Amino acid sequence: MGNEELQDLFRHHIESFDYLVEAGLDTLLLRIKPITCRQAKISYTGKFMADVYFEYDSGSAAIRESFNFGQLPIMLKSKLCHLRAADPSKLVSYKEESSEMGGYFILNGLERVVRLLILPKRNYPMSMVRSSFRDRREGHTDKAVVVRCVREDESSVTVKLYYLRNGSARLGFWVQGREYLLPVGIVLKALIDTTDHEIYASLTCCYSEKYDKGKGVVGTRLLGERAQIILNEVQDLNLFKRSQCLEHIGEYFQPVMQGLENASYSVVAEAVLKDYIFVHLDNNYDKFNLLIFMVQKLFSFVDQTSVPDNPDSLQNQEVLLPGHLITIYLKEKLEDWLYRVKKLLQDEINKKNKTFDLADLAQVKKFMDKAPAKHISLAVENMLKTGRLVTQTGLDLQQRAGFTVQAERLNYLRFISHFRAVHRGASFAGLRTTSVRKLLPESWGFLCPVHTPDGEPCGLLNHMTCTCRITSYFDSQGEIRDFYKIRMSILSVLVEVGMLPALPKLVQAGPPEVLSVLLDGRVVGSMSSSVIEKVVAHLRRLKVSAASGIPDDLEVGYVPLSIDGTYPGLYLFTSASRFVRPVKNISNPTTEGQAMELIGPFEQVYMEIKCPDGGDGGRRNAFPATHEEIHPTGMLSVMAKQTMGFSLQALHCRADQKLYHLQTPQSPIVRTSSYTKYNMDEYPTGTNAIVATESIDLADQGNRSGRVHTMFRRSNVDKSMHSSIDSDGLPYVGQTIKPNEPFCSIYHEVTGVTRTNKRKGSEPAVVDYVAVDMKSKNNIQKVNIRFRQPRNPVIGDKFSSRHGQKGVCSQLWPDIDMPFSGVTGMRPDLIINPHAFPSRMTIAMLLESIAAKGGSLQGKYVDATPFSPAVKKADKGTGSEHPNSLVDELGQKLREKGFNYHGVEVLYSGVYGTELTCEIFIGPVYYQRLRHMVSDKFQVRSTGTIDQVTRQPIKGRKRGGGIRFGEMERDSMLAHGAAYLLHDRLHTCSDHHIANVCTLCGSLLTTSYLQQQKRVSEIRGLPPRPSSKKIICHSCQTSKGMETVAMPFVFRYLAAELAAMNIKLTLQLSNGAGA
Amino acid sequence: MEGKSYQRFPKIKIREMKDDFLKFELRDTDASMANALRRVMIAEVPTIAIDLVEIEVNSSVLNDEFIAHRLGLIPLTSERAMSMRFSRDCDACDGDGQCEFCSVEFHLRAKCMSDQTLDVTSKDLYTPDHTVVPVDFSDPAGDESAEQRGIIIVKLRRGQELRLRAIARKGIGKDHAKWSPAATVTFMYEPDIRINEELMETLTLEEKRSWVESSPTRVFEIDPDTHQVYVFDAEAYTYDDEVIKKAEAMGKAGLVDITAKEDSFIFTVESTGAIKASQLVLNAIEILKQKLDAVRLSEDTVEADDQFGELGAHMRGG
Amino acid sequence: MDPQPEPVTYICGDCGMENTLKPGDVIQCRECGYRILYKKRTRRKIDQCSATSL
Repeated sequence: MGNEELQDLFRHHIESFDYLVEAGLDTLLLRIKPITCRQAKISYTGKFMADVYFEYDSGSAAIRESFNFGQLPIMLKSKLCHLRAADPSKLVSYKEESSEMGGYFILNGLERVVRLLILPKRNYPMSMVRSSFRDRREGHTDKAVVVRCVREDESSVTVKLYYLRNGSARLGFWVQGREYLLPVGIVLKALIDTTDHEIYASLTCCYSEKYDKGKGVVGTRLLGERAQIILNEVQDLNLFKRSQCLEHIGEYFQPVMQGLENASYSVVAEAVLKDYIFVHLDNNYDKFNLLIFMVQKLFSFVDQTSVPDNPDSLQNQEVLLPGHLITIYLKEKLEDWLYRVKKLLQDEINKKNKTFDLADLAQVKKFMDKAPAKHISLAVENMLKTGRLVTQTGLDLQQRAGFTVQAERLNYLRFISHFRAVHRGASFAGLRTTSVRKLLPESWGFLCPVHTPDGEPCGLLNHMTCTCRITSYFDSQGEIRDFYKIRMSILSVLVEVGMLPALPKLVQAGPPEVLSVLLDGRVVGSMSSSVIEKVVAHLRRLKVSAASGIPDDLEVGYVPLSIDGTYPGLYLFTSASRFVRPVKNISNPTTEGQAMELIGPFEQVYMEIKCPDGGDGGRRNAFPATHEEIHPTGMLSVMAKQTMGFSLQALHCRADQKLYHLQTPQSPIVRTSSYTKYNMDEYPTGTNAIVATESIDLADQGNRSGRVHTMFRRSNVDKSMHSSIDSDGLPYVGQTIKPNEPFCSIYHEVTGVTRTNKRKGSEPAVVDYVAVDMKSKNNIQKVNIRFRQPRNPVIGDKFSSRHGQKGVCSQLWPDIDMPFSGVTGMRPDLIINPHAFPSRMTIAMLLESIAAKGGSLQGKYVDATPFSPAVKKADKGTGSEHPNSLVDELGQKLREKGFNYHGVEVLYSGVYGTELTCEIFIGPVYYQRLRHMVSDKFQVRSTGTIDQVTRQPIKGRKRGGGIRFGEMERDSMLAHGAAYLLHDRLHTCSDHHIANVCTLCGSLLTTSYLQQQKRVSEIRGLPPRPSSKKIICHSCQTSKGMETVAMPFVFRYLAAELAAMNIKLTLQLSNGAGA
Repeated sequence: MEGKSYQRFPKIKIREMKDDFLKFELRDTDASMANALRRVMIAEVPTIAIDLVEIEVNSSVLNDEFIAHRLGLIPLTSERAMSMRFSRDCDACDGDGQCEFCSVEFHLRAKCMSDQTLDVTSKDLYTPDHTVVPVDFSDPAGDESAEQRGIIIVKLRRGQELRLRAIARKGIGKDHAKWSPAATVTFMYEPDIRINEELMETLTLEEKRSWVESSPTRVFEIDPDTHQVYVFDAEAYTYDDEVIKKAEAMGKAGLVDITAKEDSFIFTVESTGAIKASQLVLNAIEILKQKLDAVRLSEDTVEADDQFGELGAHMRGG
Repeated sequence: MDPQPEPVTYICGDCGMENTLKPGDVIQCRECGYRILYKKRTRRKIDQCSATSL
């Protein structure tokens, strides 16, 4: 079934949310079903309960109290959702799609998806060059090693190790919106009890005089000097022992550590080390070792024995999943709440209120209620609704907004791609540099090189390939992973094959002799560089075999020794939210050659993966391939952008704002394997049209689409006022409503006013359904009226083939005027100009035309999977029975059926009945209708509303405005010498105005009409006779010298504006001859 | 040239005739006449089709407009169409189009009561008038298989219901394709094939065979005894010039000479079933005559005599 | 005001029961208590011209 494969595309969203739920949150779901939420425009939520522990000093047992934290939004198809275990028939009975995939939230009736966001790879120290580092403080350089440390609960703290010009280094991290910098020496000493000599030895261990400059050498002679500087810095501050360093740190941080204002310095310092420095590790020895490793990497990078890591490359990136985002957000909100509760209680105790007893739980709870717990779920709901984080700390994320998007159901593929989209981050959108948007080779196989939007988000919004997956907290059996156990089994394997463990003391050697082994950002030991390649192969073998205890998605990032390459080492990752994709492991022929290995982007760079086209990919024999791609299409994703299609099967119970639906869809004759794999026949997107390639533009298609527009209105019962309104104030279901006809009337209970709503727009619409609901007796009544608009293809609608050959329909011809084939009598549905092909190079469309023609003659679907000829060739060797070119293969099929080899036919003119002098290329092509339709866009006016100030026509289609006739248009009119037309456009049809000017003073503004008394004629009921209006100039106090001048009204406005600035504008009039 | 008559006497020879298929030759006329006939057959021969639908109950998955559209496209037997009135110029009902002279009423009532999907087909359309019924495609002799149950309008699941009244009216394909009686009407020029026997004899048997096979359709054959190339089926030729190109490629340009006869056409007519294919042609000729009469009798033509001169006289005088 | 506002029939979104509501009635299915009701299709006959609608 294609359904499971489809499910795979959504898995990462759901699993991440499941983890949130599984990992200890208590949420109870209400009776409501998703469909109710959509209809009633409410959110799909569950009651969120959590236990609060009360522990007293007296040593009595802790008391558990359950608290209600409000209604937490639930992801569809997650463990808490009604639809989780529902089979297709059950889903249909719930009025959902039979292939509902979930993965999104319903908030106020709208479906919103949390957008996947690229983050720096966790727990991997990355060397970086950034000019902004230089501005941190005096003496800083632009180089640093940065590590994003992630705790078990997904919250993260980024630690940066800056290089100073004097050879020292500073450790920087953010506490409450400020960056604090600590000398490395102090941190090293504060972490563990150690000696200066030990630190010196650890720092310089990767330099040996044996190796001067060669492969894999990272240390230089300068290392010793720098280590000395680092140690001297600490000595200069008179810090010698660990306790002294802790005191120093504690003193520095006491004011900013929340809740530790009164604690001793050493307690504060321990808290700083625990909460801000390398939070993914909980052992200070591990932290010490990692810091040593980072300093070594920094110095190597400064000495240019290794290159900086590219933060824009997928190699150093992972992804932020919806569940993890909610987890960290929720954590922060809960911490805030606990802090507030604590403060409330503390204030109460400080007040020395006699009646208050901290031991009395009921009383404590009463005070706790002052900090409303339900706001926590509300905060999460608001975050999902708006995509905006309301947070003080920033959660170690680069952006505050844009975390969620609305999932459009324009067509099914478009809907899927919302779940496959990965955004680089909103902060990059504003950057002028284009380097972040670049398609890098590291993303091969993980991100689709084709599927990225044009324009502003180009290269920032990418889509995962169809084989790409995201690692989660669940293993393939759906059980939560025990990362501690996994790490232990990996460690035991590593020790078995010859790794020297790091603890208790780091081994005193470095590359190229031995390589450090890091497991999830912990330096676990080192390994001799001579055996490491065998170890890597061994690990990969264990990964593939199921029973080894090594997870199948372990990332074995082996960075080999190189000359001035990336800093070498063996980096192992087991964590969640990494990209992985399957490839065949062919290094081990014993396991039937079908061992699928999941690889990540970090390791991929150093692996030898060949394409299954039979070639060696240019690697010759020097680097034998150890892995093979499953299929070349693995590098592509699924897409269909603006196509209107058969978007939903449960269309009748949807309440979307706007939905497009193709009434007469067809299955494409020429299709790819993924079309079949994902069951796209359930959601087709177009029709097969017979296309003739000829120099007449025309289209005539029998498809049709209904646009469904939903209105959302509060309503009350009112008597019928119009034939189109029923006695309940709502329209009759199934009735057609023309523009400007009323369709519902609302009775306002407070003011007692009845208001009728009239239908806007220019097209008639049919009332599709009317749903009423009311949450409870006191609540307002809600009405959902859905309109349906038929949209026949008209001139100006946009169509496209699947090859990006888009265009607007320019003419609809009568059927009889279309050219016809003398043999079959076939008339094309659509004619495309051959000039559309050479510049756009869409050969695929021509091939589709021939292939579909052959396919329809044979009654078979034609496979058009990309790269398949290459794979076929590899499978069958140099197949002699296969023709060399695709055209030969397709042409042969046509010929067998008595058609021309090249797909051309002789056509006769439909108008004259004579033979067209050239042969015409004709065949079926799958055509899609795009959502841009003229009836949504056309704009026309002769007269209409004008701007109050300038008296020029307003803009905007909705308000009946015009289209601007701008400078460039004016220039072209001038170039043509079309003076009258220009005058007509810019003056007569715009703000034509006849002004009175006083020639005596030249003023435009001081003239005014003199009111004449004409009461007599009005009383008699006679029409007022055209009065000879008298105009006078106020400044000259005379009506002499009044002239009328035609001018744009804005000119008068300009004069008024100038007058406001004390500038007088004087006109000097002369008649045309004198000028 | 003065006074010369251009009158011709076109001939028709029927080759093959079935209820919904007709193949005939049209000779001694030109392309304008042949094409006019084709265009009239497609767009101007009247039939009866459902035009107005009054929906009472529709709880099916398809919406009202779409069902109305589907009903409209069902071919109805339209032998009566020629004698019926267009509802727009019907005197009996003041143009509201609901009288017996210009309309036929249909009823459809279907409700699914079982768990099995109910197919509502054209056979569920009920009318008291037996002359206008949905076209029956079932094989009179054959078995009643599922596909023979008529044209599916909509499928209903348990509890869904469709109840409507439909009014069929006379119309022509020009107004809407549903009134078009023709599925396919096409003609081709009769080809005139002359093989240059002299040049042909210079070819080897192998060359002859490859030349014959270069045509995607079976136009030429080789006599198995004499090894002579002869025209097997001239009408299979699609004017694709394949054989001519092949001959040129072989260096034997002029091996065959193919021309289209300007005055001879082979028509293929397929009907939708609304009227018989033979009747379709007859009706088309009748309508073409009426149209020409209309031109001839119109005052405009008389007035335009000065302009058109003898053409106008020719039209009137025959 | 209109002396006798006609009651309008609604169909329950959950159980499919028909409910007849008068102005001011609580919007709720009498059978199952579901609160979203769909208005019944009008008994007025609706003309569809099949040529122009598509």
